Amino acid sequence: MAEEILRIENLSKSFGPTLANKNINLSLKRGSVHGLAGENGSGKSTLASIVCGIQKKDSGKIYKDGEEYSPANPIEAGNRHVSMVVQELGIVGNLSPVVNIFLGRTEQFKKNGILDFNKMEKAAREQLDKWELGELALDGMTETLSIGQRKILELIRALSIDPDLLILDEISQALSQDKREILYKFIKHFTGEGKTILMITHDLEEMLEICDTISVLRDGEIVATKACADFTLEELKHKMIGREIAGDYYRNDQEEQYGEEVILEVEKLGVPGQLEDVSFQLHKGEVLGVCGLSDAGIHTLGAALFGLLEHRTGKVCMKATGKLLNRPKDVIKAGGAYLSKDRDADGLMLDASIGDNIIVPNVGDMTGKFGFLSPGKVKKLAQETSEAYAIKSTGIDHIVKRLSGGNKQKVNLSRWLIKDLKFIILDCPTRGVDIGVKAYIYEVLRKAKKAGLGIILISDELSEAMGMSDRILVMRDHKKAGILSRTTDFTEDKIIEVML
Amino acid sequence: MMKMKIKIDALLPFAVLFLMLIIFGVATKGQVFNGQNLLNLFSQSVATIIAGLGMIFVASMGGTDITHGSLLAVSAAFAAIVGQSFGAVWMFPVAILIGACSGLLLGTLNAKFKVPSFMASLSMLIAFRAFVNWILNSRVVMVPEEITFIDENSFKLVALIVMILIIGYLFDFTPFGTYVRAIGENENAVKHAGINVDKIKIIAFIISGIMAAIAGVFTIVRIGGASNNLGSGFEMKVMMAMFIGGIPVQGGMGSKLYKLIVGAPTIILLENGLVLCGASGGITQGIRGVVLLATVYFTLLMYSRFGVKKAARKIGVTEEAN
Amino acid sequence: MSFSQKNNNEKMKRIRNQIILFAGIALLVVISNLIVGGSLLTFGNLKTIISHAIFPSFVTWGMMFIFTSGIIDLSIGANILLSANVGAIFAMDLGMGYFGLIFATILCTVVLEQLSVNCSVSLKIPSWISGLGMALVFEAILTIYATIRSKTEGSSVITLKGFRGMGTMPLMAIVWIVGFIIAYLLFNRTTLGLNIRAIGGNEGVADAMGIDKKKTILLGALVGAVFIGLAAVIQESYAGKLSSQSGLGSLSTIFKSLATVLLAGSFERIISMPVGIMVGSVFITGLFNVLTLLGVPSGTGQEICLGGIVILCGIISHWGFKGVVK
Repeated sequence: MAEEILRIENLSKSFGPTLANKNINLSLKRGSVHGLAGENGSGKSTLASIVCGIQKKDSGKIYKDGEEYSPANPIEAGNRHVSMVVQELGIVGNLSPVVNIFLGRTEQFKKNGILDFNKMEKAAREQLDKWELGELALDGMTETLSIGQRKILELIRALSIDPDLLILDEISQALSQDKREILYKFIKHFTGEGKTILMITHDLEEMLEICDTISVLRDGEIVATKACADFTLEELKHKMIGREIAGDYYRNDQEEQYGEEVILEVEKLGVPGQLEDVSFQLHKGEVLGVCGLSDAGIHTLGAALFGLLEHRTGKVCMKATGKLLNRPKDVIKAGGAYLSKDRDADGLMLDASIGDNIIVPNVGDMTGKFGFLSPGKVKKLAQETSEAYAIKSTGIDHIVKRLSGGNKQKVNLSRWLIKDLKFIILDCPTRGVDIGVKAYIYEVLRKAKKAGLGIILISDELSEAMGMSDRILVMRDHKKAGILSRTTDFTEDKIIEVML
Repeated sequence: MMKMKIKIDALLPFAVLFLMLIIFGVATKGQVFNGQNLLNLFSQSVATIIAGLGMIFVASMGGTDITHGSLLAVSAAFAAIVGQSFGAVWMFPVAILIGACSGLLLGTLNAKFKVPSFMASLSMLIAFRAFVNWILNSRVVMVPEEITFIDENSFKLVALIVMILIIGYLFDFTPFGTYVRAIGENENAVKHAGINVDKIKIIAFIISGIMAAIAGVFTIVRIGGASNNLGSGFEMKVMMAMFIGGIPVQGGMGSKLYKLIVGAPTIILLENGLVLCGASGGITQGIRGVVLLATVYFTLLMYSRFGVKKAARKIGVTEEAN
Repeated sequence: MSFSQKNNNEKMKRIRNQIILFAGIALLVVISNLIVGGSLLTFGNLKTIISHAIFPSFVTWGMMFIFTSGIIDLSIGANILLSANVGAIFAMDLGMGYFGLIFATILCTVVLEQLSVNCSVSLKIPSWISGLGMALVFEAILTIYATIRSKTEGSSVITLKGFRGMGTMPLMAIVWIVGFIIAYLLFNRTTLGLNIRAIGGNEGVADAMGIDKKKTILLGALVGAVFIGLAAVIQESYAGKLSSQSGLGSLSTIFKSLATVLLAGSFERIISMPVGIMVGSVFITGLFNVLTLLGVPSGTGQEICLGGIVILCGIISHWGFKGVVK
């Protein structure tokens, strides 16, 4: 048996009420490629970022080379020869690539008080050549590099500290085919020297191809760890997703049910480089799920529908009146609403009270003569909403920041649902929400559906979309890959087939 | 905990005013409370409050409008010139028009062209001051006799109350006021509520400009004429009236009208008291600077202590400028 | 193969943009020269422009080390006025000569700048407010000093007698060139310069790479203050005296530099900041020279143009910016 480089024992980590990692036990072997598979939000990125010091664990122990290891930051991790290529860390665009590689560690290249860029470039070239990573411009502005080149740049940055454990989080996603070949060759070369790679990727076929061992995470727990040869693609998919779909809180009927009347008509919606040619109709009382892999463009679709993105092409209109919805204002006027995935940045005023948050989308409809806004009425609305949606707090003066994720989302959702809406676009409404509130939100959505509201439910969780939708619009590579019906098509295999 | 926060937040401006009264009451051996001086205090506070009634809209959005000092001078000078030639009735319309145009320009620069408001308004401050120097050319323009009635305390009191009522209505009892404060909290959230943020911003700057112009007319009538250095340093006085009253520098829901109305006499009292104590212009300005820093620091501290704000980071957005 | 071509293309593009930029400036100069009837491009006039551009150049290089990391310090103008007068006291009243002038001025600038930047960083006050507050305080100190002095000595500030060497031409130009080289090396070729730029460019990445933000900002302010101090020495020596200002009047001292730093910042992608500042300050000084030649009065018409130019530079530097601006 190969020697162990890293051992994780009973590691747990939570963000507020959400347990991101539960009792993780993992052992990495020297000279191997270990894959971490799992859906979005299954906790694999959290696990990786704990190992490389970006986040701190709550409990449990990690041993590196047999000694206890608990890095407070990436620098400390680097000193123990652990480094990571993060999914979204990025670069400093107005500095040159070579500076980006050695940022924070440039002192070593000082000569006569001035940095020797030739020496710095030479050191970077050495890494490039040693690992045969191809060509890369080292001077100029980094922002002119393509996404793929930036990833290679980040890889060199990670390699320049001479790691013996390298973590790659979704690195191949950004790479073109030829760059991927370079990456695969690099991985062989790297592990050939007895060093280890911990790899996270959505591309399961790739994972089966290059990993030696694979661990599957689901809801923060490791559900299986096996040698790669013992996994089939089917098995891997099922382990990842294979949750009981018939949870109590989902719908239990098996047929699509919605009104004849079309509320929203979308034709050839596109955003250059982000979204192409999406057409569909939303009916009265319909829940239309939107699913796809991380990069498929499902979130872009939501923002585009609401009219937030520039250079939008195509047409979004209300079927009944023929009114075009080009800007957020038009959507709101037509009785629509949109909840962005990033609740804290785009939705709520975190430092303001529950009452203030509830009233913002509503004050426009509440004015009397001369635009008069009665404070009594406003307060009453806030009070009633807060009570009707059972927001747990000390009252409507409670600051939203101090609420749990679930209650925050209740505030966010309730203030729209009390309006007289025709349709609503929800982007991951149950993200970062505990199970109780999740069930509550589904209940609220069911009621809204019954009342005739058209709901577009964009979701990272396949099970959620399957559990709640009448139809699912599946997206792939920024395009519509198909629309599946609850009546005939709602099997995991079918949806995954369309998705991948 | 929650209730305590609200209480402290609400009472602080009054406490500061009270403290100031005691300090200067003792230091000047009661001279501050002299009837004539109290009238003086009121008379001087009027322009600050009026301008503040406009600036509060911008401040609640977390923006800055420091054009006030020069804008006051420009609009007052023009009003005086027009008043001399065409009669006193034209003074207010002319001033208001100039104020509105200035606000429109500043608002457009900030909302549409994304120039940080403090930078844009600083540039306008300098340009307007030069403009005043140009048109006045070191001569003094006197105001027409007919308008001096507005400097009578009884008129000023009524006018002030009317303006407070109008602005108070706009600020507290209309959706517009809610949106302005909401922009200070989270501009993106307001955008996602389908509200035209740019329009709201521009209107807020226009109101700010108009109120500065009205303050200008009151000031010039009180002084009797427009000269080159009219209103110099006025913008800082208005800003400090808001900060000392506890209006948070990053704007948002904590922006309340009464804080301004309490803050203005506080800052006027501070300067008046210093003058009565025999402090020179230099010392007064130095104390003004220290008080500015201290009040901004303490309001921020109070908000972060109660976990209300991460102001520094929020302001950091502004400073992406360079 | 295709890659190195692409890389070369990027380089070519940059060089092309540089050529376009300088050609544009040259064209502007020629046109302006025609408008003012050839009096712009005379040797004497060019010498005047350069000697007037040196002060804003140094101030802007100093600003570059402070503003790039996100600290918009508006107290720099008041700092210059106060420090220059402190330097003059050391040179004249204490009889310490050039050494006193240069050393005391720079030391004073450094101390005041540290105070101002620290006020923003440590107290977490938005930098432009702390800058305004500090400007009021610095102005006040100078005003108080001037009031006392005018009572005892008759004149409000010291007028230098002698010590005008720093303000005469060949020396000024040499100091300018040397200053440029040092600013260029510090900004582009030292860890400090790179770290300042990293903090300004992407704070998250800078943090993740282990860069100490506070230390870097304060060190940047220290270096910046030396440049600003030097600017104060040159201006004091050139003008003979710097009068006190009140009510934020000191801001006008740094307004040209504010325009220059914005302008150089928006062309950073084409030419490096220190170079851009050198070109920019000559450009803006030249612009005002043209205005003077056209008969636009200084102090009024020119100041109006200055305000307009800063706004224009602000628009250019924020062009296409998406996001929240307060």
